[in-house]
Amino acid sequence: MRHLRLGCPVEKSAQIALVFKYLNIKLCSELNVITILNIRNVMKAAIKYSFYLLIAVVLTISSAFIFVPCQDRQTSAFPYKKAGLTQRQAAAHLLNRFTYGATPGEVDKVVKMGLEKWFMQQLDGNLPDDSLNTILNKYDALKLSNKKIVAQYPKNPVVLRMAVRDGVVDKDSVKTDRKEYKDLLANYMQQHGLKPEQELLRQLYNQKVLRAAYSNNQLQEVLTDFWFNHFNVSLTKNQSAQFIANYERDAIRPNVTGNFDALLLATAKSPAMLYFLDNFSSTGTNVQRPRALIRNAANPLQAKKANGLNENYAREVMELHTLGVDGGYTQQDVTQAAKILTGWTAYPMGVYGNADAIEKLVDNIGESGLKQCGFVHEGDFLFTPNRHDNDEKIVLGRKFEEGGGYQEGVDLLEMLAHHPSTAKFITRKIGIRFVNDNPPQSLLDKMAKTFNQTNGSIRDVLITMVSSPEFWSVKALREKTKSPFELVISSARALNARIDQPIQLYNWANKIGQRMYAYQAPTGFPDRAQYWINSGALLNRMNFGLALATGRVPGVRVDLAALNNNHEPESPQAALATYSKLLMPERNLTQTIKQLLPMLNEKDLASKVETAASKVPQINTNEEMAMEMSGGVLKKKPNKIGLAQSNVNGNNTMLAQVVGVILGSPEFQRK
Amino acid sequence: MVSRRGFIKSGGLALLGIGLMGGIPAFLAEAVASEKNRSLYSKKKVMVCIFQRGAMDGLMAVTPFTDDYLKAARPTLFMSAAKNQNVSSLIDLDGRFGLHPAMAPFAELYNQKQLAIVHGIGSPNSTRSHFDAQDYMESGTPFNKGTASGWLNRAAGLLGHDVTPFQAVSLTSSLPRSFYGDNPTLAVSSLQDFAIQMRGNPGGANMAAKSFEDLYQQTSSSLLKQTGKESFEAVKMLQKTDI
Repeated sequence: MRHLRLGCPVEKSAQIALVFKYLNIKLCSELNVITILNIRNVMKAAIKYSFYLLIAVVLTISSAFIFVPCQDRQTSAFPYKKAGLTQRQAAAHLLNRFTYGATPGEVDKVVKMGLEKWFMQQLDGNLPDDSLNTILNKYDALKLSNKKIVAQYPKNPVVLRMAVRDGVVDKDSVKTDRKEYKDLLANYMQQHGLKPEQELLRQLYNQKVLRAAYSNNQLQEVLTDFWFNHFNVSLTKNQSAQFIANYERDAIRPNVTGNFDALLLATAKSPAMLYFLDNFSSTGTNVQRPRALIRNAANPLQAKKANGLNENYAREVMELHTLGVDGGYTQQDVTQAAKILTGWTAYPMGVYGNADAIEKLVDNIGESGLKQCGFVHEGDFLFTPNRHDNDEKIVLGRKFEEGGGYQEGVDLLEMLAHHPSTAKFITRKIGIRFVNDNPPQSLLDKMAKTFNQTNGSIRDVLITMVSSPEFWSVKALREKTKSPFELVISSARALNARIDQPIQLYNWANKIGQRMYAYQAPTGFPDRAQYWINSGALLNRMNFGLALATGRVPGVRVDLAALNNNHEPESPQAALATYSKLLMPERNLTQTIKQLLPMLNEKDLASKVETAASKVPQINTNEEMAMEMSGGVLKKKPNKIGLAQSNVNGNNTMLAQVVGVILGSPEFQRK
Repeated sequence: MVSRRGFIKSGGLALLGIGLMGGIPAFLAEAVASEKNRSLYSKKKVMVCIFQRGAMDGLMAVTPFTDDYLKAARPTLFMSAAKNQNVSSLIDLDGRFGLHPAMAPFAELYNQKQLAIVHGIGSPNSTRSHFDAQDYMESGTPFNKGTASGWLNRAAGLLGHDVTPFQAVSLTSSLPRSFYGDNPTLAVSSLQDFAIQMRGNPGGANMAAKSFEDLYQQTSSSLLKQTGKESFEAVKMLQKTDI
């Protein structure tokens, strides 16, 4: 049984009673349960309650965690009062840390529901998301398997090769810069039902923005982002790019509140990671000779040239994913771990790894034959014994007997996931993300303890964190700086924006310094204010606020009057006070308002703004995001995105300007 | 539109662009180390790096034309420095290396000793992956992918410039890998972005800029306050330099 870390710290026996309470059955104590069961033994009652009892018993025995709402003891669960916070301030803090920003009225909602219940609901992540899913349904690429993605969204050189093979273009006269040539290839792709990779990426970017902005299960989105960044892979690595959508969908998303080892294993076996950190090609020196069965078949998995050992994944899995750089391993451990992981590769797809040949092999000997020969094939993952190093290895003092095959890799990752250094490293990273850039050691110790005691349960670690006074301390409040993506999404959420062109927000986040899915280093984006705040980025943050509020982000609409129930503020001063409060609930805004008032008191201000607005010329800007997806033959000019398309004249009212300034203010950059 | 050249020419701005031809991180680090005492950069010199992500055939750009192996390996591509009326020939630099005729303007610079060519430099990691090679070039640490910083960022910290927002600038939309790190660096795709903007509403933009400046001056977060100050100084600096 795990410890119950939230709600009433009840004993196992008492849990039954409380679950009954939860199910609206009036039972006063454990004794009553026994009474019903054993003493009175009234059939009627037994039948009436047996169903609930069954549920209760099952829940007690099997559940990983039972949340028992205890309305009367709510405050003891989240110790914010001790830190001097009101319930509303605490709700705002929760929303700041575990969502992409509060939407209008959301603080009230959380207070009404109860902070603890809201948090548990977010951890469960089961809230219906019908309207979001209706939008996402349009994104067909996001439902495909990796194999289908590779087939339908081929990389440009692959298209070229196919077209040459089919005699559509001549190999010796490849002219990538000619229009006729491009048209020829585009036509070829259309005829064969092929789509450009850019379309796959567009869908990936759009879903990221839409989920962050609209999902009711905000914590799932925030954690998906956190863990993706922890196990970072990047579009800038060409081989990995196609697999990133499904990496997030299948390896990260389902595991974000689960146990850390499951997350680690899922990422280790995902093609995106296998390609990003090169383990797909890593080959041992003392490899098993292929058995006759596969020797006779096409034997595609015999590495064509001995690629040799590649230590990249083994090094980063220790340094970045588990132990941390000071986690107590040596270069020798890295090499030995790399040997253990030889043979871990991606199941061949499309042009990768000779896919035709493996299909032939599987046709010949069947999946069962493959298994007999020591292969492990699970979805996109493949363990190939004929690349695996069979020697004995020693990592961090633990001996892995020779001939350990696939299982020793799993054992290695399990060992790393449960190492004390990992508990410290991971919980510190969680603390930095959710508390402040320098979380207090006392809190980290508690979180690491929970990590160790619960088999690395992320859920339990998060509960320990929010149940600790340090989480609610003034040192944590508003101490995190929003990342560019968080700023952009939180602005849209605060204004209840209607997002028809999500990519515009993706592009703004890039402009402010965060190109999602494209941080080139395996470290992931640094999670500290200094990284995000530099002069160029800061100006762009301010410009974004102005652009959004004045309606100059194409395809993202805001209705400022509706936010205030269509009450027009009586004066600019009133607008400032009202909208500051709406956009930044539960903050002390005296300073912000005081600073801005002189601007509003300037004489003839409104008329000045209007005069300027009436002179608005046609907008003709040419903002192209250099996609830098180099390496392709069919290098298409990126889609023109930005203001050029929309000729937005924008909204130059005083109100829009005030709101823009609020979004760009220092206070709004904090969360 | 401000041209990049205009930006570089304008005085007082130290600029590091991105990247370079071939791989020179070690060379550069050495150069920086050896020149430290002469305070090479106190004269506000500007270093520009151009990183060609698509790569360049260095053996075509600057051909070692006396090399028989090269001739044997590239029978149809090989160019000679011998003058020939019918075919274009290399521009002989020193009797051993020749510039491709398309690079003729560089020959003059070379003869004036304004141009040096560092040839045949590369990463010791002979990965066949274009992206890995690029990544190693930018981090400056071949064989180690996890290096958090980029070599230009580390270099920026060693060059001894005054800390201005323009200490290290990348003219790209996203920060390149070589700029990752703790030293302040900046990515701007256009200098026009370096201002408070409300398209078509300059009056509004001015007022907003004033409001922002006041707000950032008073904020309790020292990071936001300091960076805000620098930002508005930079905006004014750019307005003054009138490029």
